[in-house]
Amino acid sequence: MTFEITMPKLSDTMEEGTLISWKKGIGERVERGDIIAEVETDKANMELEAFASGVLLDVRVKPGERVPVGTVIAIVGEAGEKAEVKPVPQPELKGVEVEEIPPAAPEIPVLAVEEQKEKAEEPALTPSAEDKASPLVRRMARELGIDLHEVAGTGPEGRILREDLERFQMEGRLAGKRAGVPPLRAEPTVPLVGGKPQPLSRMRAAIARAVTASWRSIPHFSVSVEIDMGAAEGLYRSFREAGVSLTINDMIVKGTAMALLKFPNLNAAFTDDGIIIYPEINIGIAVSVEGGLLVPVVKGCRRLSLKEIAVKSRELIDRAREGKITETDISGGTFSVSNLGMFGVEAFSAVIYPSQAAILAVAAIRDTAVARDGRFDKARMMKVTLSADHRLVDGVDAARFLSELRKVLESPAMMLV
Amino acid sequence: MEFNDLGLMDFAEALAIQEQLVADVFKGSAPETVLLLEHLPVYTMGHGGSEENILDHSVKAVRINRGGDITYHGPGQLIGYPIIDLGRRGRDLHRYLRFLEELIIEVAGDFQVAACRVPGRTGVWTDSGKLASIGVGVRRWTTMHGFALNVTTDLNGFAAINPCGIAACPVTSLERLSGQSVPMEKVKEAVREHFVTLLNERLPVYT
Repeated sequence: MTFEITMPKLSDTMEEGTLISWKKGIGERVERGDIIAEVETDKANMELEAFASGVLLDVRVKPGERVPVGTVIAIVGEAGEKAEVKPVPQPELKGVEVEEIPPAAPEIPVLAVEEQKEKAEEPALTPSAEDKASPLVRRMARELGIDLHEVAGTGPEGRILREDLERFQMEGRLAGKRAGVPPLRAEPTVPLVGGKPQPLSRMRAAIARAVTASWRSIPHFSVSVEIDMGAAEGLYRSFREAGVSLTINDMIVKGTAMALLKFPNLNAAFTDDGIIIYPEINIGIAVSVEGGLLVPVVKGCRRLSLKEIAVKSRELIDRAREGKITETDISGGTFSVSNLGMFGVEAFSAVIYPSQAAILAVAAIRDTAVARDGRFDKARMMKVTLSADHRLVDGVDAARFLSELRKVLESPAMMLV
Repeated sequence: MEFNDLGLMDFAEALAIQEQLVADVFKGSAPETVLLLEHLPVYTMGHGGSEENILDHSVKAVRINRGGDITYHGPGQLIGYPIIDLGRRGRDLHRYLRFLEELIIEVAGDFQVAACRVPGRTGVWTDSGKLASIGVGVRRWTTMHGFALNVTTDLNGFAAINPCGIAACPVTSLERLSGQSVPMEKVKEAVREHFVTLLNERLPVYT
């Protein structure tokens, strides 16, 4: 598997960058975190870190050369691999390699995961059209729903520039016709009531791509259950009193991991080549951050104790909130949990993360009147809703999984053994 | 935010301090810090700089990991090396450069010197030439290097080069422009006074 290193965007106003120097040579081993190049924008230089380990197979840009943001500047892969830009086969998570999968572009962490998928889905352009546009332009075209074959390039040797795309789009608008359905910037069918469109932040664009891909390709269905969290809250309190830092969400993650052990068909992916059951349980936790959402992944949940999950999850959430999340932190997830309990929501359903089978949407724990032995009693109830991929599992599977999860959370001592 | 006055210091020694601080600030084991100092005479050049901008061939420039071409540092020039974690301040290099310019414009204003930006020519300018050079390096979004503001600098040091790669670029100093003596300590004080407010205004920490 090869990975493209692209000219990073180091400022909202950066359109081009200069490759100043290569710190690694072709054929040289690159470890994640190594400085591989220095790039410059204006009077500021950035030491470009490798976000994937491998061998530097090719460099596409010479020192002193100035290229648009997003241009592929180097290829990293395994020794002996050909340095060709090829779409990453889907799914990228396979077998036991789940944790070893190195991430792709160092450009911006949130995007990379989706970008790999996106490339796999992208209809293959003929080499000529592909050669004639930079990755940035190709991506813009994709987002705008423009077929590059229809765009006349005005750049050197007929290269398709951003301006060409923009002009093409304008012309299309004026003529009242459009090339294809834009996947992201779908225009409303009712007239806009004033207001100017705001450009998407990179995070918003990444989220938009992930959920669009998921919603379009995965037939979602959802099943809900109510869980009595009284015992879990009791355990939570006694842990707290003992000075162990732990959240209810950590217990839900642990419970989920235990239920997935029994129902591995929900820890899976549906691919064109068949169903992949992931050998490891890596649970993504949706974390809201300024301007969007990140899903850091607690890896290796199969072997982690409740306390270990709490520690790992705390670290990941802190890093996400501080903007220090790395590509590795957010890749390799096999199942996700989204918790809106802190906002007091009664119930909700979530969109499945691409290349996963299901996502658990967790609502608030509320004082609820329940009937017990013919009497009313109050209990601390929490609704959870599992969205699942119907190609992989049926309602019965979802119900069994949820029933197992309920069993664990209602008898939380099971989590400690 | 800490301000650390290093006095007059050799370039290599200050670089070693910066390297250490960058690692510590990135790890979170040191607070964001601004180093204020003066250098012994030295020429430095970004890795992307061109040897053609050295006019006097006896001049040897130290190549460093900052943006920009060749420049001169020497006593009487206030060097500011802010070690700032841009990872939590929006990750935008251009915005950081504009912040440094604004800082120096405000400091110059304190000495009744009107300075400005020239679009496309990062640095701080006046109608008599360039007052301050800016060149930044970033490692894991933590900044190093920074600005060099001529206070009482012997401007002959610039004669041997095309400052910042600009041929015959006029260079000036705060003292020359204000027409009176400008004590280095007062300039450092002005930097300390403006830095934090302006930084938090231009590059707020995202929580």
